[in-house]
Amino acid sequence: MVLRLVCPASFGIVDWRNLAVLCGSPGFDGLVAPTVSFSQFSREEVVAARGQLPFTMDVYREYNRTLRSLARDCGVRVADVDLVLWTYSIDRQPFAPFSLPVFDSTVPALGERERDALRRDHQSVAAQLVREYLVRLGDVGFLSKNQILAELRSVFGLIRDECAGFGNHKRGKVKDRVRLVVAALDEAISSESPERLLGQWNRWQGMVDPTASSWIGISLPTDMILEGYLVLEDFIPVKEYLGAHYDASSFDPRCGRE
Amino acid sequence: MASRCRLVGDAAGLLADAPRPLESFSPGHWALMQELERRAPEVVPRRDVDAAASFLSDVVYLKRPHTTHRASVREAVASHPAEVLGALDAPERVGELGYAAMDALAKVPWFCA
Repeated sequence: MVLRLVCPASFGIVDWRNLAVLCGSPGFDGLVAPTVSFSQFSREEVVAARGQLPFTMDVYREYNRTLRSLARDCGVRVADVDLVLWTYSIDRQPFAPFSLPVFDSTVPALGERERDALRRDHQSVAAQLVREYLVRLGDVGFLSKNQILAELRSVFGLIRDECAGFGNHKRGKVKDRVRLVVAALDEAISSESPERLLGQWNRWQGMVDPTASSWIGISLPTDMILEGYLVLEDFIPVKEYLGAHYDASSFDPRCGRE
Repeated sequence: MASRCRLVGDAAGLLADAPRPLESFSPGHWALMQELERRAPEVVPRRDVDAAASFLSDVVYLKRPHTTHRASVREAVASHPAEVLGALDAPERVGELGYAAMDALAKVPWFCA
């Protein structure tokens, strides 16, 4: 980015959208011919990974070399070719309205249709939902500690509602135990820091995991899954995403401190 | 990589139209990009850490306007003066360093590759 601003004649900004236009990815084709192939990913993978596409130095070199060639042909700066690609990509696929927490605008309220889909193929449906959330999270870039806390609260809020919804149809001991889990989730949601909330996540998992010493006597996730509810286990990739991108105690972006 | 690709659409029209879609990314994006392009050649030779920290935090904001708290980024950048000065050297030596200039920039907080 800095090089593009200091030397716009020679450098552009690498971005998944620009790569999608160069590659002729689905939904972004039509501006470049012949399309460009990168050995590191396919044209489909570019739009699937979006903001999480890994930009190695090799990718940037190939990308910028292509931009320089196009700039020479058109008699413009490399930064201008970068702008042309980005403008085209936005025309083809405008930006989605942005709001924080990202979770609230990405993960839909679950209706009967979604419940049916979850009952039929929980793993695929839940994984797709979490994948879309993580892609959107990647698109918006690094979050502050408070923004991470808000995201985690939203995840827990959904699971809390899922548990409560599941418990509404139950009686006796199961209902009582669901109440315990909902209370644990409420406590987690009221945490003032993401590290405490992540700690609660582990504790909560223990309460419903038959192999854990803190198991409370029901296999809640399994029963919930069978009835078409989302469970916290579905969102483990979110925990992994945070672990990969943020320092575990300060929640500063990992790569920003290298 | 495929050989010799070309732009087959209306590149001039897209370039002329750029401010509109850029504004849809974030209000003020186009103006900030132009301002930073204007400031860049002044900031680099000054070798002033404070001025550079302001510039660099604005660059981070330009890339991620929805989630960047500019004052926090500026503070983090300014707390690494040696890395900032190294990053200021790199663009001046870009003719000699080529893409390796990015390595020096990547040592500044928030500027990982």
